[in-house]
Amino acid sequence: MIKDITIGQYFIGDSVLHRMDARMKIVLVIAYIVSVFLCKNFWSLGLMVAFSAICILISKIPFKMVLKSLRPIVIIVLITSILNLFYVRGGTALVDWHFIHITTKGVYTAIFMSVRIISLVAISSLLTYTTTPTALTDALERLMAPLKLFKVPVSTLAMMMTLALRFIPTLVEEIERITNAQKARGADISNGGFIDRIKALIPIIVPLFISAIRRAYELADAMDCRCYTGGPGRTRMKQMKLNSRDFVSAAAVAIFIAAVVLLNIRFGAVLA
Amino acid sequence: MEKKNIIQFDNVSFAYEAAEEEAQPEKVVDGFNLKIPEGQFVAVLGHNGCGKSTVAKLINGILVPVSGKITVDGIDTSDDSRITDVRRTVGMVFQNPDNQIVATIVEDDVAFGPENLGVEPKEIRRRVDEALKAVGMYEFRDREPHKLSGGQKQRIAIAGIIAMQTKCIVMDEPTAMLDPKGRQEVMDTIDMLHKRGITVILITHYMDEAVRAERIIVMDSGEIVSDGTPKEVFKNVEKIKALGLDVPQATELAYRLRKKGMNLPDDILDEQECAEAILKALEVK
Repeated sequence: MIKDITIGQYFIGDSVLHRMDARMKIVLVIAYIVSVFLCKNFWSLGLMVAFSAICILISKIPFKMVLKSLRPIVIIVLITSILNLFYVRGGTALVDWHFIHITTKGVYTAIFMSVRIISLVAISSLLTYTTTPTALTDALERLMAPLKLFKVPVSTLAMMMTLALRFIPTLVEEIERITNAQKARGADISNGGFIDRIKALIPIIVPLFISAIRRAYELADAMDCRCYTGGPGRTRMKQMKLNSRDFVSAAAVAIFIAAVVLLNIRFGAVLA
Repeated sequence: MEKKNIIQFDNVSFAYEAAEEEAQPEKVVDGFNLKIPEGQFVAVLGHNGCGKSTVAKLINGILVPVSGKITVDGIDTSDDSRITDVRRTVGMVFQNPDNQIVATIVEDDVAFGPENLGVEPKEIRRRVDEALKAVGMYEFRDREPHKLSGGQKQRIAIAGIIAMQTKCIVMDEPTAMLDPKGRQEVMDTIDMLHKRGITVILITHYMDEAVRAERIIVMDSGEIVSDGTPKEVFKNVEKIKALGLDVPQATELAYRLRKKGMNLPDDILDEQECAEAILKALEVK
């Protein structure tokens, strides 16, 4: 059923990661992404993988869901590995046959890059899995608050994001309704070549735009009636408060980054 | 003692801007006068294009009159500097619940109005919980609005206005897009608002909704053609029908039987009353 679509990727749960402050989550994910690129040898890389696995376990998100988020990047991972494998030169040569040259450095780079990309995407999707879109927009609004000094309309941008999220399911329903209405009038939507299909979209897109604009006018009236001015003086019901769990998580990530750096120093770098 | 009028129209005229410059803008309402005392439940009836929605939009300043004056709790709606005060006093619920819900979570939507008014976070929480309980949607507070039924969405829209603690709520055909169950839910919510002492102005074209009000205003071509209690208004069956409107079914039945010579009172509104009156008339025979 079309009504069952969830906005964003939020996966309902009650883990520590779910309950963490969304602002802290965003900041920690950024720190984590940086640390991913700090790993220079197999010890630190292993630690990073272990840390990521622990995060996934804590989140109680089924492993299948995490794998699902990795599906779109399979090709990117493959292409980067192959390119690295064949084009990075250095270290001892493993294969040296006609035009194919594979070196240890190429193999290492390929492994490092794939593991990095996979962990990066897995952890970022963990952020969207454990945070509601509302909490994410709220957190972004608050993290970007300093930009207000440079006259960036942060609250208005956040409001736009919220409204966009709010209207996605409504417009999806609308598309379905219009498609059915046009089919009932004999429109042929799913047959024909590429050009025909694009042409067939016109009777759907035009009414969709008209209705979206009408909705926008009504919504603007409704927002006016509820005293939205877009200006200052607006308060928020849900206050974001950093909890002990947020500080513990921050400490954990800090220790993790420190460990990565120490392992790099202790065992030297495999990659320059 | 006469109650204070919360809404007052003095000789108000309004015209939408004409599409072409030569065309004379047609006045939707002209020389309109209306007084609504605080706490009254008023239903506004009329067929499409009679100006009832325009009147609704004039009440809270979405539209401002071309001439004449509208005051809401003593504030002139054409005073731009006080428009927020007008909207703090009069909340509005529209026909399509989808186009008035702004947030992706029920409780966030109810909080939207008070947040805009700059209410303290703790107080907003209290008001939101209270408003959601009042409309019977508290268990749905962390749901996504698009997964709810039309009646539930409309109750959330009403909760959003309750949380703003307005003295008056204007509803522009709030049940027009709902199924019978949803209509019943919304009508029960409206009765609850009225009992709380909130002034309710219900614009509708359902007669059975209008009879629940204390007062009915019938509009035609931008004018009030009938104004009184439901019994007074529907007494005049011919007049209502001449305007292209229906009367409640029980009233219609009693009217037809009376025409056939049955001795029935002329102010019957609901089925119960009608049945009893017919029984009584039959016993007399």
